[in-house]
Amino acid sequence: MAEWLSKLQTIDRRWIYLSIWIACALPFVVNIKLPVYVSPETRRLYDFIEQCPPDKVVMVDSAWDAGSQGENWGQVEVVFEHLFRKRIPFIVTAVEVTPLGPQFADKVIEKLVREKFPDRKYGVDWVNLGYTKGGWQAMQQIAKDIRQQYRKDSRGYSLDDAEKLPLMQRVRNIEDIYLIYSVTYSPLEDWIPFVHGMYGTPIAFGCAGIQSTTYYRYLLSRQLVGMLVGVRGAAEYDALLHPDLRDRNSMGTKLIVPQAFGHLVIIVAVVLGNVGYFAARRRRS
Amino acid sequence: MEGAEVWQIWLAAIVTLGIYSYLISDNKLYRLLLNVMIGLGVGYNFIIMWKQVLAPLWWEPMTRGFAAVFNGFAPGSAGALWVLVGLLGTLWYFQFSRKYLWLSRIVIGMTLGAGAGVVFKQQLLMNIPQITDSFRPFIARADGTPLVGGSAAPLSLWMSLNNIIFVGTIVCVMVYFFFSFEHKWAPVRHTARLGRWLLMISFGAFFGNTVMTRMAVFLERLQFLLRDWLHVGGF
Repeated sequence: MAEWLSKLQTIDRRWIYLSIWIACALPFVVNIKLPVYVSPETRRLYDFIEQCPPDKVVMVDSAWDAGSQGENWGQVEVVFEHLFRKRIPFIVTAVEVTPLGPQFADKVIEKLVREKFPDRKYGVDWVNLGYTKGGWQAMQQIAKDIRQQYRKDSRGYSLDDAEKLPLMQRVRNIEDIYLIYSVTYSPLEDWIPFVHGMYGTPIAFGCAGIQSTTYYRYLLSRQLVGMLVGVRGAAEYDALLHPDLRDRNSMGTKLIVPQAFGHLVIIVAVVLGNVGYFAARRRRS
Repeated sequence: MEGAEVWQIWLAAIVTLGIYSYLISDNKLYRLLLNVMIGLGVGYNFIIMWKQVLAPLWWEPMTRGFAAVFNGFAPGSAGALWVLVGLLGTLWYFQFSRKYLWLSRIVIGMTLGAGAGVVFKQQLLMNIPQITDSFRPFIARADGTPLVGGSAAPLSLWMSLNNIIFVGTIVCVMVYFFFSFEHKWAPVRHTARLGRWLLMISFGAFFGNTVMTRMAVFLERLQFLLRDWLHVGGF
């Protein structure tokens, strides 16, 4: 028996890959819904956006691309939906990390406008300023005078063009921004000292699950107002937006059930590997 | 992928499967696709960098400045000074010359000096709130304030326990990282051992999150292959 169990340590990894494929594909083929429990860091971001005053805008640093869209797509999708629903104007940009960020944000916004908010207008409800470089210098420039960092938006309109970009006519510097929500695989921590630390502007992150352990400390010290962690954070936020399970159709909600199934396979594989390890040890002794 | 042409979906599906073919074994298709992706990324980044960063923030103000200079020092001539920034940036490339390497050291020195100053400020603004937050009352109210001199919130056993664990973890882990003396004294030895265990628990949380992220990357592609390419499911 111990000899047979010890073989569990040497299962060909390709069988594990195949098991994960099957387990993850199943919820895409068969409609399975699981409940989602909202964590405090997600609820804090939701509540904070709920309290946005009418004269302020939200800035979304959407610096992610295909490599992390599994997590980041859902994280911007739910927040954009919330902002559209509350008619809170927002500015999209991507600072430093990837020049593809603004394009991916456009895809998410186009989908939302087409499916849920056909009356929202570019230039009035949102503006995409495109990519910018400079890290902390860019952040400080945005805080002091946004026009010193961006002369035109991603479509080539001047920020002073009141006809095309009426929204930008009331955005001059950090005082007009209610919240900076940075979504990327690993958000730049420089937002915390150079914007929150110096100007007091609230910051929130949407990050890959792998990075979240680094950022939790900022939640405890209130340097972050909230955080969406991986697919889980996106699904939780969707649950706050849509209390009825049948109304949820964001990327986060779509991926959370297959993810649970995939995790189950990983847990089983870890348990089997450990059983094999202890069986082999007993055999040796 | 909504609205995408059929050929785009097929191309994306073939590339995705080509990359995943590495799971079976390393192969030429995988390497080819990897190199194509790197090339595309570099090319795209270069164009975006020029169009959205260098052109509007450096080239256009500089050329307008020179136009004003040639127009008899009209207003806006100061923009021509941006040429100095370009010259300074060019000094980096003297890294490739043994003879003129010293020129690149000018700009390296400037970058290091500015960087050191900024990091000092960054660390203060980032870590001072962390240090102050680590001083927590062991008997706390529901909102985290202390029993004496706190808010009107009720006493919370949960918050108090949370704070005790938080401060206890900090102390244990810091003791573990005291390497300047041998951990012979029993209280120090046990505290350090507990610190090591707590670190192992946090590494476990790191690993769990790593699995979650890798899984999410895979699931997004799986969804694309099943729903957009093969039209299976659709939930």
